[in-house]
Amino acid sequence: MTHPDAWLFLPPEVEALVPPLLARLAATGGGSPDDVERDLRYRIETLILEGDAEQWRAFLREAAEIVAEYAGDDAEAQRVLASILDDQFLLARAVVDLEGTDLDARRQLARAGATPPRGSRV
Amino acid sequence: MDPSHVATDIASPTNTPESRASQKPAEATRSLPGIAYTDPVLYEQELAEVFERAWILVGHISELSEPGHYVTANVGREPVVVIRGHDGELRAMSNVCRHRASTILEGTGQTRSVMRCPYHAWTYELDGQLAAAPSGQGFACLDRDQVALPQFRVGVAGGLVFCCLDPDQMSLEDMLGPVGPYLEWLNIAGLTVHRTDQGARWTEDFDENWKILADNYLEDYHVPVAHPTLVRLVDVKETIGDNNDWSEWSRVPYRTRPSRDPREREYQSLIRRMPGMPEEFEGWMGHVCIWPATFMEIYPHHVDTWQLEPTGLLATRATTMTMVHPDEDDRDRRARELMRELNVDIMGQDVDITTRVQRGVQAPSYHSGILNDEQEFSVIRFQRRLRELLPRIAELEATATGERRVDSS
Repeated sequence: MTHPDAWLFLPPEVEALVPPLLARLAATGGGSPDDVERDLRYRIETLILEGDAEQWRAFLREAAEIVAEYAGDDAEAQRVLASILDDQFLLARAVVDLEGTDLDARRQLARAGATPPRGSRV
Repeated sequence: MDPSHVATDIASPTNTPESRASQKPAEATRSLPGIAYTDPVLYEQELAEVFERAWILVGHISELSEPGHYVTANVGREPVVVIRGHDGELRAMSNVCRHRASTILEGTGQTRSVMRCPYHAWTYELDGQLAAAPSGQGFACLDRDQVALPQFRVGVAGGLVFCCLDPDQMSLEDMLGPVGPYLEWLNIAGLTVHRTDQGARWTEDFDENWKILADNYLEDYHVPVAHPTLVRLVDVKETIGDNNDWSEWSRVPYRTRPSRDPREREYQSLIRRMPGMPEEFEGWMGHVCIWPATFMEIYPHHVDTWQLEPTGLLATRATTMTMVHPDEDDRDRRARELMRELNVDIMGQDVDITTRVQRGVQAPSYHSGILNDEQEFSVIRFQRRLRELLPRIAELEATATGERRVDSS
């Protein structure tokens, strides 16, 4: 049986990299990037301190939707985010079974440019 | 040392997530070959060329305040004693009697005015000179003036006492680089060693090659995978630090919001920096790594050092020394005890990992792995030093590469 804390290996990369990038994308819908980033950081930390794997997966799906629906000019941020989030779904399979909504999110991320990191083939 | 100079150094860390990300090499960085963790020839080179040439932590200056105060340790294969002489000088010398090779002193403490070997009572002055031997008339030829315990180098930095067997090794100050000012800044010298019923040190023996334990301590890539407690307690992405080729310090902020875990939450409620620690350290936890195998956990309420000592090819002894404020109060004591409890869990998680790695590096199918240039950068630096010092590693890598070529053909 998987330990209830086992999913906590997932958030650190997202906590470090995602808020500023996602803020750039999300802020196109209104609000300042700084405010969006601060709110994202707070939400991620709340999940780390109080959440569980299901809540984390729900957050990933939401983030994937923002990335997928983004229609602005920052294609590089969109592509990097899509790759990070897609890796999260791939890694999460070690602790939860992906469901149809997760697979939908992955398809969205693929359309948004998710690719393996440079030189990842070893 | 000028305190303002120290503050400037500490406030300007060169080792940040951004700087590490910008220093990625073009080529993949590979770990040591698996066989480097099981090769007896390399092990002998490591003892001679690494441990017996490096500055090795032996104690804290508070343990050596008066004449006759001593600490003992092993520096590679050499048992050493560091002792305060009647003249006030600190000296490091062999802890091996020149007669029949018994160690003379054990642990830490204070001798009488001389050091006496427990085997045949050969008795030495505190400067290492033989004073007398029982039944001295029975020796056909014993010139006591010609018998002395071999002397080694001793150095003190930030209150920590180190010994080095190699007269040509760089100075302790140079080896520590930015770590020296960091220890000064944190006022480690103002602490005192915590003693339990077991004494001033706590040892634990592991069934792995010492490098597997060192590699594990040197990187935080595994931390979120293995140690959920640390994910909740500290914000790793905010880690800052500085390093030279041999030593590094880093510090990471505690999260300020409460964990859902009751024990972690109680610990969070107690975190408070000790008197004497700088205000800028409020809310931070520090780490120090000193070549080759000295590690420190610097909490606001106490400090642990962790010294690895190879005791065999697949055997390593870890010696822990805990330092507290001389007037530690109940709150800091409780914080220390809680962190000890949390660390028992964390250590168990690391033991599980390192046991697996020791099995894995012995697998015929494993040669070496690719290291993460950001989150395993200290492992990369550590292994680079080993490659420079130990020609045997190149031989082993050539062998491993040759095997891989055969495998893929």
